[in-house]
Amino acid sequence: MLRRSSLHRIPWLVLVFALVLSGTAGAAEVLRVLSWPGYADPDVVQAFEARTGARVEVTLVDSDETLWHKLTAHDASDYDVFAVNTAELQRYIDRGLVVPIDAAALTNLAAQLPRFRDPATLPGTTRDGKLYAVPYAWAEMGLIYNRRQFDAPPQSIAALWDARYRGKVLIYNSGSHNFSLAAQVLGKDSPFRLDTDDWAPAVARLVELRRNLLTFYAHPEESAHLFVSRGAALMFANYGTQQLQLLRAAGADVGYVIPREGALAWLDCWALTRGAGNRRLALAWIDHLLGTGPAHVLSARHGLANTRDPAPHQGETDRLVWLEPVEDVERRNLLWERILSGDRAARVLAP
Amino acid sequence: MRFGLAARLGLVLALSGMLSAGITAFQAQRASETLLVDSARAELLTATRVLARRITLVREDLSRTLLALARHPAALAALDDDAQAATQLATLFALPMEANRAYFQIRLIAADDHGLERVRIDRDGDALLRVDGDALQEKGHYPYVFDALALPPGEVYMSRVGINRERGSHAALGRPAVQLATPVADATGRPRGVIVGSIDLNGVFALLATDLPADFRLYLANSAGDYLIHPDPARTFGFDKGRRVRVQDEFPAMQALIEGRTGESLIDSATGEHAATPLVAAFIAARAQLRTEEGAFILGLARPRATVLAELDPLRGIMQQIVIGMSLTGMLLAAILARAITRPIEVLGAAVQNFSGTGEAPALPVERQDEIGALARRFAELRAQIGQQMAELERRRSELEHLARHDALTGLPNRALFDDRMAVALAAARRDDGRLALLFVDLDDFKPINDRLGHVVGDRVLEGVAARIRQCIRESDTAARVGGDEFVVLLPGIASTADAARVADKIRAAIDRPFVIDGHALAVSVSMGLAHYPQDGTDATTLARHADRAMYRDKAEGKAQRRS
Repeated sequence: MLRRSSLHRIPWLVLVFALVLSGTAGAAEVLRVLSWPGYADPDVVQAFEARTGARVEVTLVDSDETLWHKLTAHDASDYDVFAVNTAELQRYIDRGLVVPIDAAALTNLAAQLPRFRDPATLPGTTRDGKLYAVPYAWAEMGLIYNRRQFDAPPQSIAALWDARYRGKVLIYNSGSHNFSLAAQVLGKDSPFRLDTDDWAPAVARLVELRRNLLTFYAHPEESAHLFVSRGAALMFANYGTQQLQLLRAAGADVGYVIPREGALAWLDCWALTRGAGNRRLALAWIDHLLGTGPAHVLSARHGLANTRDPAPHQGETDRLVWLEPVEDVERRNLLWERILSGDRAARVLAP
Repeated sequence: MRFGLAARLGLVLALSGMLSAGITAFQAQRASETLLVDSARAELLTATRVLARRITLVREDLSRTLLALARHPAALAALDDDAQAATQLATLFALPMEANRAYFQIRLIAADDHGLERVRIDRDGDALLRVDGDALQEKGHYPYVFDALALPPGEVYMSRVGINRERGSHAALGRPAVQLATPVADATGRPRGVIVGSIDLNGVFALLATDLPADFRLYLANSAGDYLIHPDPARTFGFDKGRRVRVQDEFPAMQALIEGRTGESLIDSATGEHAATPLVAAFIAARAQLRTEEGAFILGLARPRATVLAELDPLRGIMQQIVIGMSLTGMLLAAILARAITRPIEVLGAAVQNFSGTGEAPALPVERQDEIGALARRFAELRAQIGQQMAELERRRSELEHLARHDALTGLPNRALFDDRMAVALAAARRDDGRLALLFVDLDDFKPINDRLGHVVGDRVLEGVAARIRQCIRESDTAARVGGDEFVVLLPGIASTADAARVADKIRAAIDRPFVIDGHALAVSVSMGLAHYPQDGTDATTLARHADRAMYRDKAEGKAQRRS
C-alpha cells in the first residue's frame, strides 16, 4: 500500500517541483507584501502580477504585535510594503521604519472620497508635511439600537447611559475604547488624551455605564446572540456594520447610527518600508489596491469600507473620530478591569 | 555426518519449524494489535462516559450545596441587610469550601444595588477569606447574575467556562473557572438575589483524573472545539488570548462530533503532530442538563498507542519463547529423524565395506517393515549369494593349487612341492645345525609290469608303493613322486644316519611284500640311495646328486645279486 501510494506520488512531486522551478526562474521582480487577511486576496494579487509581470510574496499577520515584530526584525528589510492602522503607524514613523510616499505616483488617489484626500483631516497619515500612509480600508464604531425600543434613533453616545435602557445596553470589553467613549461624553476635545483631572470623572461615568449594562462582549457573534436573546436595546458596535449584518441576518429589527460626538473609527493604510527594494513596484501595488476591483473585493467580500465608495450607513456630515494612540494604554486597561469586575468608583481609582 | 544428509535434513526441518513458528507469531501479533487497539478505544469510550457521568455527579453535588444555601433562611435575611444572618451565611459558605477544594468562591449577590455582593468567601491560597465592606463588588452585569435571576427557584445556572478575569477574586484570578448560580427567592417567589459558586475547573478535573491510569490523557473542549483542558496547558483557552486552539484542528476526525453529526468519536490518530507518537482516543459530546450558554462539552480520553500495545509485551515474550521452543523442538526432531534415516544407511554402508573382509558382518535391519527393511533384505540376499559364490571359488582355487603341487595318481606331493619343502627343511637344518636325509626310491623293473599287465595295473602298483612309503614315514617327513617310477623321501630332523637307514630298510621291506592286484601277485623291488646333510652335501643339488649316485650303486648291486 505504502509503496504503491508513494509511487503514485512521484509524478506529482515532479510536477510540483517543475512548477516551483518555472515559477522562480520566470520572475525577475519580486514584491514582498505584509498584509492582513482580506487585503491581498489571491485574485487581487494575480491581477497585479498579470499587469506588472512581477511576482508578489504575501505574508499575512493577524495582530498589531506580529506586524511590529516582523517589521522590526531586520530593520524593515524583509518587506517592501505593508498595511497598518494610523494609530500604530506612529511608532513606525518614530523608528524611521517607513519612508515618505510620492503621491504623484498614485493616479487612483484622485478617485478617493474627499474625506480621505485631505491629509489634514486624517491625523497620523502625515508628519512634517510628508505623506507616510495611503488610506485603504476603514470601519467606524457606531451605535446599534433596537427600533422596537426607540421611538427615534439615538443621537448621542449618552444614550448608553440612559436609565430607560438600564440592563439593556451592550458594550465592548475594551479599556481604551470605553475610556474614549467616556471622554466623548465628558466633551473632551480628544477622546485619546485624558488629563490628570479627567480620570476621576471618566471612571465615574464608566461605573455609571456599567450599572446601566446588560453585559459586555468580545466577539461579533456573541454580541448578536446576546442582543437578540436578552432583548437588548442599545449596543456600542465595536465591529460596526459587521454586527449590523449579523443582527439583521438573525431577524432583529435594528438601526445603526453615528452619534453626534463622532464615531470612533480605525483606518488601515498602506505604507512603504525603509528597506523597500523596488519602490516603483511598491507604489504600483498601492495604486492597484486603490482601483475599483480591489476596492470592490474589500467591501463586497469582506464587509469593510473602501476609500472610494460612500459608506451606506452614514451621511457625508457624520463625524468620524480616527483612532489615535491613547495617552496611557496600561492605565486605561487596569482601571477598566476594575470597573468591569464591579469595583465602586473610589476603589477603581485606588493606587 | 559433517554436512551429510542428516545435517541438511535437520537444517531444513529446523528452518521450516522456525519459519512456521515465526509466521504464526507474526500473524498472532498483528491480530492481537488490532484487537488491542479496538478494545482500548472501546475501553476509552467507556471510561469517557464514566468520566462524564462522574462530572455530572460532581456538578450535581456542587449544585445541591448551592441550592441548600439558597434555601437557608439566612440567605434571605442577609439580603435584607441582617448582619448577623450575613455572618452566619459566611460560616455556612466556608463549610463546603473547606470540605471541597473545587470551590474558588461562594457568594450571595443581591438582585438590587447593581448586583452588589452581600456575603463572599474567597479561597486565598490555603486559607479562606471573607471579603467584606468596600471590597464587595457589583456583579449585576455578569450573566451568572442576570441569567440566574431569571430562573425559577430550585434551578441552577452554569456560566460559560472561561478564564476568570474578575479582579480581586484571589485564588480564582486568571484561572479556568465556571460559575454555578441559583436564585434566592422570597416567600412570594420573587428573586431577591443569587447564590454563586465559582468552581475551579482544573481542580475538579485533577480530582477526577486521579483515578485514571497514568498514561491516560484528558481533553475537554467547548461546543466550538476550543480546548478547556489539554495535556499541554498552553493549548487551553486559546480564545482568551485571541487565537483559536481547537480539538478539530488536532484531530480532524472530530469535525463530525463538533458539527453534531455524531455523539461519539473513536480515533486512532497517527498523522500530523501524532505521527511520531500515535494516539488512541475516544471523544463524546456531553450536554449539561441545566440552564447554560454552553452547548455540548467535548470530553475525551486518549492513550499513546505504544502503551496500549505494551500490553502485548508479555504475549510477545511468550511468542518468542514459543518460536524458540518450536525451533529447538524442530531441530531436535530433525536430528532424531535424520538419525533414524541415516543410521540404517550407515549399517548398510558398513555391511558393504565388510563384505569380503574377515570382520564380523554387522546385523542388517531386515526386520524393518519400511523401505530401509526392504533394502536390507535385498542386500542380505545379495550378500548370501555372493558369499556362496566366493566359497565355491575358494574351493576351486585350493583344488587347483593342490593339483599343481601333488601327483594326481598317488596323491603324493610332486617335485615342485617337494623342492619347496626341501628348501624349507634345508634352511631349518642350517639354522638349527640339524640333520636331514634325502632318500631316492626307484622301482626296479617296473616297465615290464606296465607292458605285461597294462597301465591300469601299473598305476595300481604305483599307488600301492606310495601308500606303503607313506605308512613307513613320520608325519613330518615328506614323500613325493618325482618321476614315472621314482619317489623321493625327505627326512628332516633325524638324529643319525642310522635312523635314515632304518627308514630306508623299513620302506624296502614294505615294498618287498608282493602286491595283489586283480588276482595277480606281483613282486616289486626298489633301489634306494641315501644322502645326508650335512655329511653328503649342504645344498639340494649336491644332496640329490649324492642320493642319485647311491641309488644307482644300489641298483647295480641289486641286479648283481639277482643275477647271482
